[in-house]
Amino acid sequence: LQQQEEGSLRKSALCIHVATSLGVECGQGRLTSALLLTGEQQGKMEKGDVNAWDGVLAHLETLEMRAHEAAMKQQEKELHQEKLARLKARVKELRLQRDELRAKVDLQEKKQLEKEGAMSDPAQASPKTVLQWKIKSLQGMLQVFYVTGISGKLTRQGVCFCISTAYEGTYLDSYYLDLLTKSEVQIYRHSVPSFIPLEQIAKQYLQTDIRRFLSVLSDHLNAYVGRRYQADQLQEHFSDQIKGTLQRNSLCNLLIFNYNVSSKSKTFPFNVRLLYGDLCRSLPTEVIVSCTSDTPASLTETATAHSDLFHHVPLHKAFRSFSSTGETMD
Amino acid sequence: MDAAVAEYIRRTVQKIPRSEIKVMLQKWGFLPEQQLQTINFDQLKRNIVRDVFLLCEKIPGNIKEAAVLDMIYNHAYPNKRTWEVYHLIATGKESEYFDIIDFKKKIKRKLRSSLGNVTINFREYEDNAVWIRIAWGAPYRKPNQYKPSYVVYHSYTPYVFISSSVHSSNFPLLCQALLAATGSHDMRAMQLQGHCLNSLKDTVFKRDKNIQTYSEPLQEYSVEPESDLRLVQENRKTQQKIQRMNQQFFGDGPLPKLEYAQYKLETMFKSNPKQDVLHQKEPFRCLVKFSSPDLLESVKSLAATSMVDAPLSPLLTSIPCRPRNLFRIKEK
Repeated sequence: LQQQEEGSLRKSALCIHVATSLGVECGQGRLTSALLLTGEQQGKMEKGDVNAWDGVLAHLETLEMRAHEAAMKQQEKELHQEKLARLKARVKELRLQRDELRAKVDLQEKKQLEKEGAMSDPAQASPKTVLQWKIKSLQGMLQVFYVTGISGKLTRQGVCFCISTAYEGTYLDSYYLDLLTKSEVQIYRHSVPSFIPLEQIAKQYLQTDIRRFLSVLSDHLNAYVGRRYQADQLQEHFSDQIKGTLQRNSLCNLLIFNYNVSSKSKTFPFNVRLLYGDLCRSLPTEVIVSCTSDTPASLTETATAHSDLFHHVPLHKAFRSFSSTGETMD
Repeated sequence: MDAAVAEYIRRTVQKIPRSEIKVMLQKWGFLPEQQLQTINFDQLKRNIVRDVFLLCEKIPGNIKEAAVLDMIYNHAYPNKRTWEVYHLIATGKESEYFDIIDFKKKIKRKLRSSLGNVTINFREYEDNAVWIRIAWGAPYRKPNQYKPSYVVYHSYTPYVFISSSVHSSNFPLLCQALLAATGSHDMRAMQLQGHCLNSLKDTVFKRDKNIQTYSEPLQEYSVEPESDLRLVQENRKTQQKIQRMNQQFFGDGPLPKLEYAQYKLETMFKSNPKQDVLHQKEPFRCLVKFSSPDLLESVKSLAATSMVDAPLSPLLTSIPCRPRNLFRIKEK
């Protein structure tokens, strides 16, 4: 700015040191400097005093204005530089953060790859590994759906549902239903066993509420599979306690068998008749435990206790509790 | 053992293919194992039969035990008989709990009270099927063991599969017994007959064991690309159309194995008045029968092999979904 001032003033006839004083003080003591100016230049201004005086003043004014403008510009520039510096600092900060996060992600990926035994550098993850990861996550998703029990996929003509059944943590059979959805929903084919009342359930719910249909059917199938599992477990693990054969039917909603109850080192046969009235439940609705006439009275209590047990506890668990409490049924 | 019973056993064993005789005798369990070991099953069939006959003669047994062998044979070879499917119409008051003992009791009671002389055998199988063998007699006649009726029933289904050697006058009695035992109100013939019992069951129960494989996403039907570049498919579009039509009517999976489709026409003969074939205005009676070892597959391939112009008549294509194979066509 000083140089500017000097440059402009060199064009005029005034002394240099006036310019410097003017430039430095920036408007302060203009008059004094003006007076200095006029004082020093008295000799030169003897002729045409008023004109020269006017000219000088005007000139001084312009100089003043210029100085002011220059000062403003300087201020702006400084402000601008400050802002720039601030933004630069912010950018640096953000860049630092981003680098940190990137490092974290890389670390995670590395850990993941290490877990799976892959030794590839995550920064060089090929499309193949990405695809493999995608397939794996999709398979995981499908497995999650399988766990819910009802899954389905679209077919050309409609939908194919798969109802997976389980009982107390053991996965059992899966049943498939192929539905047509062209005009109205119809069952095209299925692998549901013939004793499950599929037509009745379909008549009630298939057209109006598919979700309810699937849920009811799933309940039926799960309950059937549960009952069958209990009967199978009984035949497999407790055949020594069962006398004769276990009578059951296809739907496993009627079970009749005899088992031995011992008391005071003598065994007495109990006859059990289990009726599962509710097809959506795997526990019986009616239990009839009967014993022969020569059974001691003390065992009648046991009979009622057993009857109660069969009402609330799955068959194989009930029998397990018998054998764990030992043969002492006194 | 009674000579008649022994003779019956001999004739039953005669029916069994030579390679299966040992297995079936073991399943039957009438002859003890050490006696079975004494028979040489590599000799000529008539010698095997003679040996079995001689052994069985010495063991006391009745006709009911002998009939079990017949049941085993028929269960292994059900396709030798013709089965008819009947639909049971429920009352809504039948028992919720299918008790096999109760079922057997009811059938025996009904048949014995009416006829007296019947041989009834029951056998249950893994697939929840109950097989009933009934040999019919009369008040003063012993049951004819060589013409028994077989009934196959799956509990909780409204269908019965009946195979009668002779469509005798005892059929209504059999129906009554079945209605009483299953707690149904009426029985109606489904007009579905065939030799392949499993196929009939699959059709009627709409079951498909291979459904898991069919639920895979279907690929677009396309004619196979020719392996030999010198051959050019001229009618690719027509072939695709036929394939689509087949897929629509017959579906993807294996079709039920039916042996014939019978169409009984009771329509008026429409002729040129000049020809004067029939003076009376009565329906022209005609029976059209399509026979084949596997009828539906052959119908499906009719259009595919261009023997018949597509589309096929709905009379033929409606068989899989109805399901029936005996039709009566009347005047509209």
